[in-house]
Amino acid sequence: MKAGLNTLIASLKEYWGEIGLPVKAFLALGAFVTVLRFTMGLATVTNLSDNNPWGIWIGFDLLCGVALAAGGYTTSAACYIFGMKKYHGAVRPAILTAFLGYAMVVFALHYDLGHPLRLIYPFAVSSGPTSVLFEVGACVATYLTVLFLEFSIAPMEWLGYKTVRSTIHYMTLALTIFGVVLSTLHQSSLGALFLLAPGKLHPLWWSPYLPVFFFVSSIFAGMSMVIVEGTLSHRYFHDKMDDDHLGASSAIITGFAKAASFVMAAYLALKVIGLAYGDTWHYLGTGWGLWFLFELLGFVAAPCVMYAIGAREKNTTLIRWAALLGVLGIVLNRLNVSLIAFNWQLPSAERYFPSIFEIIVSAFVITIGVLIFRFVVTRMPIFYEHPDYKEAH
Amino acid sequence: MEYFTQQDFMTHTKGVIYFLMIGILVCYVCFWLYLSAKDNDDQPGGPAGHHH
Repeated sequence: MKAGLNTLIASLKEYWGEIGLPVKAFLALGAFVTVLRFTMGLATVTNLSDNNPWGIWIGFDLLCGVALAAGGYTTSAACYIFGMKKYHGAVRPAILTAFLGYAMVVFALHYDLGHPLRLIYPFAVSSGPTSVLFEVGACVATYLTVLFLEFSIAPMEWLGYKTVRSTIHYMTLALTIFGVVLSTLHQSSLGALFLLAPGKLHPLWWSPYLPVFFFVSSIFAGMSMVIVEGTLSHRYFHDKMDDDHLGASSAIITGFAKAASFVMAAYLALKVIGLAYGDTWHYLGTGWGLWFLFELLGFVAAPCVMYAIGAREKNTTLIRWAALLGVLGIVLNRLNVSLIAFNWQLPSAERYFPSIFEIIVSAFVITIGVLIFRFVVTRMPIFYEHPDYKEAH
Repeated sequence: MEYFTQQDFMTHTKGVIYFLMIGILVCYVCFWLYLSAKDNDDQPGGPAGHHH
């Protein structure tokens, strides 16, 4: 145990030395704003108000973070539940991305809560089990624990804790099933949060199907994020990948593209049904309608077609561009629902725009996530099989 | 379109959805066929229908 801890501490010290000065300067700025937030309060660093109690820390950090971290459950479900073993090489990077995504979501949530130390209240003091937010909180907390266990196999292998590693590895299938169930619940519930605001959210985005929209879109968001993350990793961590990982990369990307294309087509159909259900067609001729069509055609229909052509013709370059559009589309959708099309009837002077401090905190959280990701993949068996466990799958 | 009762509204919107769903289901099958058309090319036996 002590040897493992020493390795970890030595690696962290070494890694701190590898981080460039501009990044360290930005971390210092983020730390300064953090101190400001927790000593002076929300009003000092945010533009939040009674009309707009949720800003980019919820709309971007939380909603986008959770949706883009969905690659964890989609990839592990494909590999361990549906038996598609060709995706095995993508499971660890996807689980790592998901774990860091959720960890950063919970980290960022502390900034947004008026009383961050009361994060435990729903579980220990006043649960409020009839609230959708309670269900989201319970699922995110539980799923973060599940992701931590799934991810912990890599550090266990790195640090040489064979017994603990074997115990957790034995639970893989149960953890995967649990992860899928929890994701289904909270991905949809995040959309359900907005069901109680039909008068505030623009009718083109508000629909009784919002929970379904959020869940279905999280599936292709996760797949797109796995492709984007894989593309960036191939560029920057190519030397950390073994031959198996490199060889399977193209087949994994093509398979994900086909699945994402199919799910995107279903999402597109659901959105049209949503328009018909609310009979909101007439809004399409307005400025909001153009913005809605821009989101739907530019960031769902277009990548759906690009994925389909890419998967059929085995064109990985086209697929990678489609994945980027898919990721941007999810960010745009979540921002539309939570911020842009929210309070659409208010005069522009009362609309929300994030303060510079809010943007700094969001960038600070992302920077920490990227730094941890880099630390993990450059030291632990994420893109390669640890030589001691090659036959353990 | 102007509606006088909830019944009017539901009849109209449900009717539109039924027609849309027929089109969507047909398009979805076609889309799946398009997506999967070249899958068998990767198999050792070659394209579907060319196994001898």
